[in-house]
Amino acid sequence: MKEKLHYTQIAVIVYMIQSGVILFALPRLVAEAFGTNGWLGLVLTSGIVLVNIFLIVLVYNKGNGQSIFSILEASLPKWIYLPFYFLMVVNFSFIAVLIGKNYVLLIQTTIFPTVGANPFLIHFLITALFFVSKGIYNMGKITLVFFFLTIWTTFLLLLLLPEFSFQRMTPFIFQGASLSFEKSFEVYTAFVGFEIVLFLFPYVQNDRKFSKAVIFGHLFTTFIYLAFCFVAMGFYSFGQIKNILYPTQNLLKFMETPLIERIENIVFIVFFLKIIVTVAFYYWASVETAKRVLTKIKEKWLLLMIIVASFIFSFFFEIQREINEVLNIIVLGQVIFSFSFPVLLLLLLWIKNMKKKRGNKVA
Amino acid sequence: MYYKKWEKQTKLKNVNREASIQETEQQNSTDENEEPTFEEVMKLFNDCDDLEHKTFSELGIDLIYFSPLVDDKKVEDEIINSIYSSTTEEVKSWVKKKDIPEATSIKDIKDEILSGSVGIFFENKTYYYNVYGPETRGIDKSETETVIVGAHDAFVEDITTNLSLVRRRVKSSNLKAVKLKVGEVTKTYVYVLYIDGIADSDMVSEMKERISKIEVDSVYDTNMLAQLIDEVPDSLFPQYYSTELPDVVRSKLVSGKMVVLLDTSPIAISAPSSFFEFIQSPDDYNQRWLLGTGLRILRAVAIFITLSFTAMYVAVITFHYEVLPEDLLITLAESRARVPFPPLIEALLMEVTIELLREAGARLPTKIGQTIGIVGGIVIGQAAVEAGLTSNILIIAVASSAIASFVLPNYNMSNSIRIVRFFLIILAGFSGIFGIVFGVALIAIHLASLTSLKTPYLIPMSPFYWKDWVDTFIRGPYWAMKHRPIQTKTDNTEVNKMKQ
Repeated sequence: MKEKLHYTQIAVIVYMIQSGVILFALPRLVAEAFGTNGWLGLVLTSGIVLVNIFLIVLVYNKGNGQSIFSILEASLPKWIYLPFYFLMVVNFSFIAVLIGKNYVLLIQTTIFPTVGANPFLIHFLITALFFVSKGIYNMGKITLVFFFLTIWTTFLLLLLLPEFSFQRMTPFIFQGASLSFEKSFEVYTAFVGFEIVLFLFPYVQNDRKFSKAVIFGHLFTTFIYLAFCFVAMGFYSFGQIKNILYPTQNLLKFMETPLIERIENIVFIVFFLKIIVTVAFYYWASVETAKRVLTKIKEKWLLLMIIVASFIFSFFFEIQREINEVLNIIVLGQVIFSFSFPVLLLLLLWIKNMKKKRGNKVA
Repeated sequence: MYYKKWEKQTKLKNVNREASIQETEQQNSTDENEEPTFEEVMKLFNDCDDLEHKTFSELGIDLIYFSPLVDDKKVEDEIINSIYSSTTEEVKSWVKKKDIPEATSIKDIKDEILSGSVGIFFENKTYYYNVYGPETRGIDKSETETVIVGAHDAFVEDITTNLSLVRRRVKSSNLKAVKLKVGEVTKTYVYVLYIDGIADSDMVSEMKERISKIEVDSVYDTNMLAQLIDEVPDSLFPQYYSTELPDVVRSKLVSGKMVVLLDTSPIAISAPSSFFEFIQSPDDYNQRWLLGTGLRILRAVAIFITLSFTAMYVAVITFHYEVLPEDLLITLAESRARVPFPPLIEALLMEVTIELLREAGARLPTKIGQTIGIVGGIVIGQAAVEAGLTSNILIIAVASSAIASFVLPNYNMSNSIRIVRFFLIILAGFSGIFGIVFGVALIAIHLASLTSLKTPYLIPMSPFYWKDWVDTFIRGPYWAMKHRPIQTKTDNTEVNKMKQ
C-alpha cells in the first residue's frame, strides 16, 4: 500500500499552519476591528474562511483528487503558467522567511535584546531545511509531534479562570468597532495558511474524509482563537485591551507558580514549534512548485537554494515594522490567491468537462 | 575528484569481490558435489588439534569430532560402546537401526562436524551422528533488566536453551522458528521467531531477506545484528527493542511481532518497534493497571527530567533569570557566587564526571564499584561545592537527571537519551531555552521520520491511532486491550482470536 496522509494529520496540519504568533496579538486585533465582544467577530471571519475552504474542497472533489499542477498544465499553455509558477515560488518562500523573521525578531526584542536576529533565523532555517527534506509524509508525522509538544500551552488558560469576569465583557456587541478594512483584514490573516492544502491533493487518502479533516482543522483553530480572545476580554477591560500590543503575552505574564514565573517567555519560545510548521509548509509548497519548472535539479538542492535565496532576501528588512508592512502586502496577495486560484481551477475543470462531453457527443 | 577516485576504487573492489565470490562458489560447488572421503575431510581439518580422531582398525571405522562441541558422555554411551564390542555386520545394522544419516558431500559432513556431530567413516561411506552438547552457562537472572514481580529467568548464550525458554512459554505449533546463518566466516545461527497467523507475512519475509543479505565476517551479538538490519544505521536511537527476558519475547510474539535470536548472544530483538516500547517493563503488566500506568508516566517524566534539567539550569542561569521566582533566585545566586566558570562549562564538567563514574562503576567488579560510588559521591556532592567549582543546585540537577536516566528499563535507550542530553546542554549554553526548543525540534523531526521495519517509530502518537494509546503511556486494563498493535500490520487484529 502506498503511503498517504491520514486525515488526522491533515486536520492537525491545517491547525498548525493557521495558528501562529498572531495569537499573542489577536485579542487586541479583534477588539480594534470589532469593538466590544469582538470575539464574536472571529466567528464571522471564520465563516468567510469556510467559504474559501469550501471552494478548495470543491476543486478536490471535481478534480477527483488530481494535483493542481496537472489541472493547470492540462488546460493552460506553458507561457501562462510558467510565470505564474515563478510568482508562486517567490511568494511562498518570502512568506515563509518573513514569518520566521517576524517571530525571531519578537524573540529577540523580548528575550535576547543584545543579540542580532539573524543567528536565530539561521537556527530556524536549519530546522526548516531538516523538516522539509524529510518529505511530505514525514512532515505530516512531524507536525503531529509538534502539535502534542505545543498543545499544552492552551491549557494554561485554565489558570486564569479565577480572574475571569463577565462584567468586563460588557453587554454591548461590536461597540467602538473601527470596521476598517485594514483592521478586519489583520484579523483575517490569522486564518491564512489553510490554502496549503491545495498542494496536498495527491498525497491524501482518497476518501470523503479529506474535506471533513480540513474543516475540522480550521474549526479547531477557530476554537483556540475564540478561547484566547474570550478569556482575554473577560480579563482585561475593553479600553485596556486596545492599548496592549500583545495581550495574550500579558495574560501569561500574570501567571505565577512557585517554581517558574514569566511563563510567557517559555511559551513564546515553545511557539517555535508552531511557527516552524507554517514556515516549513510554505517552503514545501514553494519547492513543489519549483519542481514543476526545474525538473532536472534535485529536490534537496532546490530546497536549499530557495531557503538561501529567501534568507538573503530577508536581509532587506531589519525591523519589525518593515516586515509587517511587507508581510501585509504579500499576505494580501496570498488571500487573493487563495480565493481566486480555486475559482480558476474550477473554471478550468468545468471547461475541460464541457470539452469532454462535447467530444463524447461528436463521437 | 575525490568522488571519481572513490568510484574507481569501489568498481575495482567490486570486480575483486566478484572474482572472489566466483572462486568461493567454485570451491563450494566442488565441496557440494564431491563424495566425502576420510582423507579429504582430515585434510580440511588439518592443524585443528582439538579434533578427536578414534580408529577401530579391526572394524575399519574412523570417528572424528570436535571434543569441545560434543557431549562426551553421549559419545561414550551411544557411539563408542555400541561399536566397541560389535562385529562388522552388527555395525552395519547399527548404522541403519539408529537411523544415522549418510553425508553426501564434503560440505555436508564438514558442516555437521562443526555443528557438534561425530563423523563416522565406515566402508567407504560417511555417516554422522549428532551429539552436540558443549558446556553452557545455566539459566540465571538478568543483570540489565531486573523484574520485581514476574518471571526472573533470562536468556543465556546458548541458542538451544533460549529456544527452549521460548517454546516452554508458547506451546503452539504456530510458533515458527526459521533458521538462518550469518557471518561469512563464523556462520552463526540466527532464528527468526514469529507466530504464524498473527505476524504479518510480508514483514517476516522482509526480515529474513535483510538477515540473509548481511555480508560481514562475523556477527558478535544481537545488538550488532540489529545495527546491520535497521533502516537508519546512523541514528542515535535503537530501532529494535532488545531484551534478555523470555517473558517479554512471549508478549512480543503474541502481539504479532517477530523476535530474532542469535546463537552466542543472550539478547533477543523484536521488530517492528516503536519508541514507546522502550518505556515499558514487564512489571507494568504484572501489577494493577493503575499502578502500571503510574509507573509508565513516571518513566515518561524521567525522560523529560533527564533531557531537560541540566539544560534548563544552564539556560536559565545564562539567559533567563526572570523565569525564576525571587526567593529561588536568591538561593541560586548565593550558591553560584563563588563559581568561576560560565554555567555551560560548570554543567559539562559535572555531567562528564557523572558519566565517568557511571562508566567506571559499570566496568569494575561489584565490590570496587561500590567504592567508586562512595568516592564519587563525596567528590561530586561535597568537595566540588566546597571548593567553589560548582553550585549546589547544579549538583541536584545533574544528579536527578542521572538518576532519571536509569529509570528507563532499556539500557540502549537510556544511553541514547543521555547522549542527547549533552547536545541539549550545549545548545542551551549558546542560545538558552530557544536553543533547547531548537534541539527538541531537531530530535522530534529525526524521531518522527525514523522507521522500524518500514513502520513509523513514533506510532501510535504520530501517525495517530487512539486505539493503541491504551498500551503506550498508560497501561490500560486488560478488558480494554482488545486489539493487537497497528504497527504489526497484522490481519488478526483482535486479541484472543487465533485464525487457523
